[in-house]
Amino acid sequence: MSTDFKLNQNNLSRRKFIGIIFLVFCLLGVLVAMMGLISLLIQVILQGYEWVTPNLIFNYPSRHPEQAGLWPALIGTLYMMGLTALITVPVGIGAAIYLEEYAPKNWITSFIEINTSNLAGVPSIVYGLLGLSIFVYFLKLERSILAGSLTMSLLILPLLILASREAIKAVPMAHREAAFALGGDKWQVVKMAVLPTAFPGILTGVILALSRAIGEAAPMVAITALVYITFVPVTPMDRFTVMPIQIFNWVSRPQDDFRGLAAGGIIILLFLLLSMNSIAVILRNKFQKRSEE
Amino acid sequence: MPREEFDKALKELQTSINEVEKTVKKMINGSIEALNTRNIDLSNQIIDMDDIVDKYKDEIESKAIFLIASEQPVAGDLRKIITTMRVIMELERMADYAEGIAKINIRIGDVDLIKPLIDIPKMAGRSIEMLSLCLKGYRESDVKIAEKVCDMDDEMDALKDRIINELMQISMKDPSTSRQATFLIFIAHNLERIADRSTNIAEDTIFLVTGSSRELN
Amino acid sequence: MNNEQNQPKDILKVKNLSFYYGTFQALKDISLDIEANKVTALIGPSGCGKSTLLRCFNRMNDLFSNAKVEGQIIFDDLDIYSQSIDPVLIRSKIGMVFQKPNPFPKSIYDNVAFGLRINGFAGNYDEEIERALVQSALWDEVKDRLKDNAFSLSGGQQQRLCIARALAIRPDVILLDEPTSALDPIATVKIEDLVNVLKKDYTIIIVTHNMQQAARVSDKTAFLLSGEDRCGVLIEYDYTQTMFSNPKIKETEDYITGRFS
Repeated sequence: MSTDFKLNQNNLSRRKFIGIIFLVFCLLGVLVAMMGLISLLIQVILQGYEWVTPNLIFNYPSRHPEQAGLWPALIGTLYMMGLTALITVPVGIGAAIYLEEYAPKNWITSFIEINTSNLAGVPSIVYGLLGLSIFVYFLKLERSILAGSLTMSLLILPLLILASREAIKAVPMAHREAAFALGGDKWQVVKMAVLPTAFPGILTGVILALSRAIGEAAPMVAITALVYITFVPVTPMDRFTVMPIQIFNWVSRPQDDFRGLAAGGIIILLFLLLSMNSIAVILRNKFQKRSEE
Repeated sequence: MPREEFDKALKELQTSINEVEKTVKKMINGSIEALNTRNIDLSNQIIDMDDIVDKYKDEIESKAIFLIASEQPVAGDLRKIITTMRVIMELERMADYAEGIAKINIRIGDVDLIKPLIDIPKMAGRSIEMLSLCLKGYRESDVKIAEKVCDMDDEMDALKDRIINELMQISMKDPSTSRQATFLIFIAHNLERIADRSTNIAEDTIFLVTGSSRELN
Repeated sequence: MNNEQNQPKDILKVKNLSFYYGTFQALKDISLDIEANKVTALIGPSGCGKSTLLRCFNRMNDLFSNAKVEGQIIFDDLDIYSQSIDPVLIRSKIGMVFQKPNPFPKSIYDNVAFGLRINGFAGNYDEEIERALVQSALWDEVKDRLKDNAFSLSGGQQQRLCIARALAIRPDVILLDEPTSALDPIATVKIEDLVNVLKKDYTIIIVTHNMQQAARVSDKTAFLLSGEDRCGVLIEYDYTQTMFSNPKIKETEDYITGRFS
């Protein structure tokens, strides 16, 4: 009897030891991942913090670093994002609703499903070239913000559809059944029982998709052809530039100061991204709290 | 096997009933033998045996009630338990009647019988036959046997009438015998009541099998 | 004279109903009549098709694309499976409460109002909602907090809320699919008492695993059984009192005494 107990004890300390090793490995993984991110952030902040001035935000680009600013690029980014949102949100959510709620579960739907995931992984420059040939040349939209937004929409649409589909899938079948059992038709069930519950997830998806849109430089490079823009776009047909491009522009200048400006621009871009993600989290929490008290 | 414990419990109840059956038969036989042989000691033993039957009754009833609460029987199971409770009640009354015969024997006193006993032992024998038969019908859930028991009850009634007539004639001829004659009439009455209880058990058996009650006598 | 009044009226008549999921037959040739203002229980071992049968009454099975029905279910002199009838209409007359309480993630008020809104009710919402909550024995517990989220209620209360939600649109029949199997004993008893009261105004069909519940709560009981082909058939359908004291068919007796293996 007592030998059994002793054996058990041996085994126990061995098991605990293995458990600790496992934990250490996991922690190391986290540290390595964080390290990369943190060192990047630290480098950018150190390089750019003294350049983050009102000048940077409100001034127009200039040959002189002290007077150079992001204003047209900032407005371009916001304008482009707004237009993209206007296009993708109804299309993306609508597509997700159709695929999840209405489409019959046959091979066509599976085909669409697989390809949506694939599209989300296509390199963004491909979208840029696609947008260039269809929107800029074929539809003769020129290098306008409209063409840029349409191109960006193509890029983030698969993401949005995916995220919205997940949110809709996550709505328990029980909600739908209850709504049907009360005499609802298909559209009523979707509108009144599914969408309200899926909303936080969809909202998060929208914001995350838009955050992706902010940072994508490659497609915008294709659309705008890196033209040096010194004015603020007003109508959708105006030419434009976006922050990543402006930052890229500064990085390629020989003067060191411009690199500092670029770092400052990155800081602002990151700030924008962080704000958007925070809003996403706050909104999601707010709506989720309302859903499941 | 589903409900193994429950079936086991039901079998145990049945075993207890069998034990009570044996005891009651002993009490009937013994009480008549004591009467015949003027054996007061035997009569006292019979009186003590009634306590055994009472104890069995309490045990069986508590077990049955607990089974109803815990097993929540329905349909055939429920009828079985209810019938068991009715049967033990009838057996306990039979034991009381046998005890009564023993007590009457003591009250008759240390005197000779006014006549040799013929019909009374016959009644006792019949009542034991009816008891065996009705419990067989109950154990085997046999409606036909139950019906037969009820037919035998008519014979008991006829015997009882004959005994009463005979004893009344004797006591009319010789008034000094009237006290014992009355006691003997009581004994015949008790035996008839024992037989009647057997017909009750037979009716309970019909309820057990068919689910509906039927008056048979 | 008064005999006609006492004549039991059948509100739902099932005629030779067979039900298929694609090629798999789940129900075979079921015929029974549901009496109005009574509680009818559907019992049977797991997989016998009792929930499938229940869902045939309000055509919830239509949500499966490969569902196929043969036979008829007559409600109000109409076969609810005829081509000309929209299942949506049926469901506002035949309501359902599900096994796991499934209130919407909305306020208590909005939950009960949901059915009214869906059906385009134009009258006094507050009145109807109060009536429904009173009828489901929940009003006193929630009248001061109608704006609270439905999930702040206990399991038993949530289920009563689901019942109120179904009652709000004044159906003729209420289908209960094992309504208490996810609830504790006290909540269960409350719902059973509720069913007893509700049958005065509604017809109730309840699927239950719990034999004693079926015996306590129902006026008539239908026992379904499926063999190796997993196709459910109706074995016995009788008044509950008879079924549980003296069933006519051996399989019924074996099932309700728990001697099925």
